[in-house]
Amino acid sequence: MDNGQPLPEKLHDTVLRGTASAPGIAYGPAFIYNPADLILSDDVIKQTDIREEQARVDSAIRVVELEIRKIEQLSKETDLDDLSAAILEFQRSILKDPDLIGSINQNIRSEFMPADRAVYQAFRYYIDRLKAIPNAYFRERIPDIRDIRDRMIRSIQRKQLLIKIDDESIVVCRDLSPGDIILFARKKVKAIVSEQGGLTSHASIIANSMGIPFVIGVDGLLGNVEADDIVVVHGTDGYVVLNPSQERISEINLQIEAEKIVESARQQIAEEPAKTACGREFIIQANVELESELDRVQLYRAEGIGLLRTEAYFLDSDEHESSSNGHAERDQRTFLERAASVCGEHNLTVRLYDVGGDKLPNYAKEEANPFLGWRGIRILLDKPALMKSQLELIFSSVGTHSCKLSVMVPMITDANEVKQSRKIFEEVLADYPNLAGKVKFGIMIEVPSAALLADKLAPLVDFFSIGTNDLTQYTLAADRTNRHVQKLYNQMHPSVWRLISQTCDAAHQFNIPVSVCGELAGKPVAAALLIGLGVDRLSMSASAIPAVKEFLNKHTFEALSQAAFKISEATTLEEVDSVLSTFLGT
Amino acid sequence: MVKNKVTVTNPEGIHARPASILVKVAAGFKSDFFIHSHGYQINGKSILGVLTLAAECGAELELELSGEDEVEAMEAIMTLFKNNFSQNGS
Repeated sequence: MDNGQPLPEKLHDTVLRGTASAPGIAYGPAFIYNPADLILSDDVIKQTDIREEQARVDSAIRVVELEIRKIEQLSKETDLDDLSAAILEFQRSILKDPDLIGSINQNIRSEFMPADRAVYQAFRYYIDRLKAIPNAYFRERIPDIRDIRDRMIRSIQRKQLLIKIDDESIVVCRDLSPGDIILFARKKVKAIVSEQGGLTSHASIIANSMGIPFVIGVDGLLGNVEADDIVVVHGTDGYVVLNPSQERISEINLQIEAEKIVESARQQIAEEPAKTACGREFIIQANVELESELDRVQLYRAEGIGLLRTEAYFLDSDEHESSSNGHAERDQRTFLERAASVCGEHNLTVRLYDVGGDKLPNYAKEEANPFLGWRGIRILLDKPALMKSQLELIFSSVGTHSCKLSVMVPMITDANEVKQSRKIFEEVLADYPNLAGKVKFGIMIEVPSAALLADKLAPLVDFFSIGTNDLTQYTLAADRTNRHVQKLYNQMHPSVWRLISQTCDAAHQFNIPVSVCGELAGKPVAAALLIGLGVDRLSMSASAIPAVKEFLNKHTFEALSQAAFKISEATTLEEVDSVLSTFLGT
Repeated sequence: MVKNKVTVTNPEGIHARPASILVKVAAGFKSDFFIHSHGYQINGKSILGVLTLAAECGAELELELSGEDEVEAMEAIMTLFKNNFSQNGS
């Protein structure tokens, strides 16, 4: 909200204008974060440390890839422009660069460099070459390459960094990567302010979703702040105040109070039972992928987790690189245990690894069409040891908690896959007598064939969970990242709604619940209409819960059903729009 | 081993997006893939390597593939160049 008006300075105050990037107001002592001064370890590692250092690199690659995927996912919910999408894809390919990874490992193995310096030196070769290129167009990618390098190094060094940041800090920096924000969110910093503004749009998306006030583009920031100076960050109006006067602090406190009232109104809505205007109740849950998202499950009173993604902790049991697997297994166990504990008495639905073949070490061949390829349950059934080891991990980590546990398998296309995966599930479960009869087994309905066969699959499972993102792209044969067909990709397409409706009917015929965990569930109008279509549970980003509940509270089930029915009867997207505007107009 | 000469014809050259597409397609084949340009040789499956070619529109490159699927790989890669790395060209 930059209106160009100078803000009044109070006695001894310094007010610096920037651009509002994520709303909220906070003040506290400054923590100066300067990722430009990466300090690399300069020691030489021992022969016996080689494995460990290589495992740190593997883990950094995994973390940075997850961050990029998270950014892509959050950006899709806002609207990613073409250039950013291309850069994210470019950065992802860097993480797979065989020469780069080879050279990092070579630096560790033969030069005995510690992981961080091995990464730095491997990148240096390419950056130096690019710097020498006369065409500026190619040199422009250097910052994106450095970004990946620095994120890998910071991920390697992260443990040390985390110790230094205080919970109450205001992070003051020159520039920030999205990965940094995820890190700061985990440490619960109060606000972030950066001097630069250009390349931070992804960071802003994340700050918004994590609820951290964020101001960008503040000229002269670093020259004016010392560590531990008190800084006010006004993320709603886009300015910061350095060394605020007493008068300023009281004023800001009032504003913080006012924002708290708005936030508590949101939370109060979240406290209300989820029901329609006519009193029909249903369940709203949260989707979780990152550990830092777990805190928001309780904040917004989600009734458990409807989709816990585990891909970030993917570990292939064929790979006997024990040190790296040991890390990943411990990480996944911690994640599962924390998820189980925030669910309390509610339900926790864990989705088994939904990965493509490119994640497997002995499967170097990249597929021409990965979305129609070897992924999800197809891999799990071909590699039953992988599926078993994940089920064991889930049962042993969650089993002692009081939440109700559900496990679901991705990418089901027919009854055979359901029977085979259920058999493996029952076999593993038999080793946990304390869980006998207590764990639900469900499937994702995200391939049209599964929706069409829903009445045959329903008797074989305990619940359905509809993934609208994939269901839409498979039904409409449209990849939304392809701008030529983006218009076709619409989760409210009547054909998609018919499949959802059919799935709900089949489920209810066999008395099993249906949930929706795609993006559609987090958009208030669409979510309400899904309830009208017969969906029993919605699972969404936790921060979307208040708006969805509020909207549902205002409409009767009957009105929702009628509108939902009209959508599934529409023949074009224009008709869908007109049904929506009539519905919203009433 | 198969070799082929190509000229880069897309206006922006082998920039970030075309380079991502090129290495992705190349990774789909078992064959080793090298690109030669003015005595400089890079691994065609390495995105950073491909970028350091700084291949602008009009640049002439020599592609070299060797391995069991070298013929199919060459065909797929030549098609990419011919279609100016349009993802929907195939």
